[in-house]
Amino acid sequence: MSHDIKDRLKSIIENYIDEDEIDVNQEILPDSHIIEDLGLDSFYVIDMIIDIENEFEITIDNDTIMTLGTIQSVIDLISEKLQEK
Amino acid sequence: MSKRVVITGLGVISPNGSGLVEFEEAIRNGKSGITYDQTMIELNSSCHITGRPTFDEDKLRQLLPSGLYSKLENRAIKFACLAGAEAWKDAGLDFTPNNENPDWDSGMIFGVGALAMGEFIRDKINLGYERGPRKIGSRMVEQTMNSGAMTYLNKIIGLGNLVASNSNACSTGTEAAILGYERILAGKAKRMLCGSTESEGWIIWGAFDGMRILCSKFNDAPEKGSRPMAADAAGLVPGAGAGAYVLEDLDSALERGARIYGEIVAGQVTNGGLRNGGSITAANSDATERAIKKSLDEANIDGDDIDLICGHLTSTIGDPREIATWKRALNRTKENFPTINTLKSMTGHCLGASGSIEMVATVLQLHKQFIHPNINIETLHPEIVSLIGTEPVTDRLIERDITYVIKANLAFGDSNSCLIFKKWNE
Repeated sequence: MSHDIKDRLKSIIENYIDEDEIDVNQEILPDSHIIEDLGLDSFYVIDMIIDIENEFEITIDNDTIMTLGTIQSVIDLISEKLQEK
Repeated sequence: MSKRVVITGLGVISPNGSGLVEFEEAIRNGKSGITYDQTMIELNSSCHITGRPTFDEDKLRQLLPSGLYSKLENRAIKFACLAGAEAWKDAGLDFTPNNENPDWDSGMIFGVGALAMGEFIRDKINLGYERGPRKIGSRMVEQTMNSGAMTYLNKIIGLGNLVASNSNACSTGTEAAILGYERILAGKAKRMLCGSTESEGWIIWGAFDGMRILCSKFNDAPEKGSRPMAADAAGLVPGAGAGAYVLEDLDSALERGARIYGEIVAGQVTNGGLRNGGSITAANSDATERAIKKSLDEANIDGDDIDLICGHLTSTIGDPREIATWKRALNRTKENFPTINTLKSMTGHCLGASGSIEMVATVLQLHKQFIHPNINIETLHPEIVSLIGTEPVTDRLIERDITYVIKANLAFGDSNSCLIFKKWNE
């Protein structure tokens, strides 16, 4: 399940990163930090969260958004929210 | 010695052609960009015909970082990015690399009519209303603020002087040029990228339909609908798009060997104060006349020196009145009135983008020494015939020497802007 989440998440993140500067296949890794490593604008993170909510039909509260750092932390959060459903 | 301002770059997204090459061919051949509009038909608008520009989406994708591009939904911003970037490249200038300082000597005035009234806004409003503002996402502000178009465009180009957006209805585009021209004359910038863009679709056009001023009598013949100066002109046909131009200090242009399209020798704005016949929607003719006369004074020429008038002329009952104003202001007679044309017969009225798209057409005509036809005039309006005869209103392409062209736009809010361009001689 985690693998499926990772692939779907990668498809979402790809829309927000600058492909000229970031190699999608090399740098979207579990340890990659979504802002520091992937160069996402902090406002892009908000849009990315909305896409994640729509894709997985979950709700992520604003306080939790502020705690997200690595790709793995986002995958864990999605898994947790899916289990709560 | 006082500064001089020349035009060194042009760019355009127009209903009848996007990009300079396509656009020039279109205006030479009298090609209409007006088509049936399925959305307007389905919504039971009185006007079923509009001017929607087409463009290569891949070109835009290459200009913007993917993160910014992926959520860009406002087509008016897309028009601005494409036209503005084309003008900058056309001037032989490069975009500032991401890791360098902005170009401190160059600025931008890129105006908008009603940036938040594009069709994309409906889904955003519905989403917010039905599921809460949080679901709107982070990009609605930057795509609806009046400075949104210039912001996206400057992400591409990287200018560091004054970068701002003006808004003055149908005068927006030509007013932007005048503001840029004045900044260069004042010695505050070497170059100004100026222009304007306008929203597209049933929301903004529907608002004009609500005013009962759109054309409804040519729904079965889209290309015939926009007919400024015709006896049977029956209201404006709405359109959208963007026009852009690089204005440059002459010394700077000469120093870098830039191609020069022409010189701006005057730029004047007036407002009728919504007095003496002027209102929110109608021009105080005295104010329009004043803008034209002051432009002649600034250029230090007489009305007799004007070879071509590129009018505002909207395909409404205001056209004969505008011609009368030109005649008075230029002090020309019926026998020696100069040639007059208007792009709107081919593009419809592109509202906040009309001035800039028309200014691109004006400068192209001056540079290439031709006069584009007015289309759709089977019978000239009788009041216009009595004012200037039929000779000045051409329905065919004319190639001849042009030294001075005058261009004006009249706007809701009783604002007027007028520019005079002079042929550039090496």
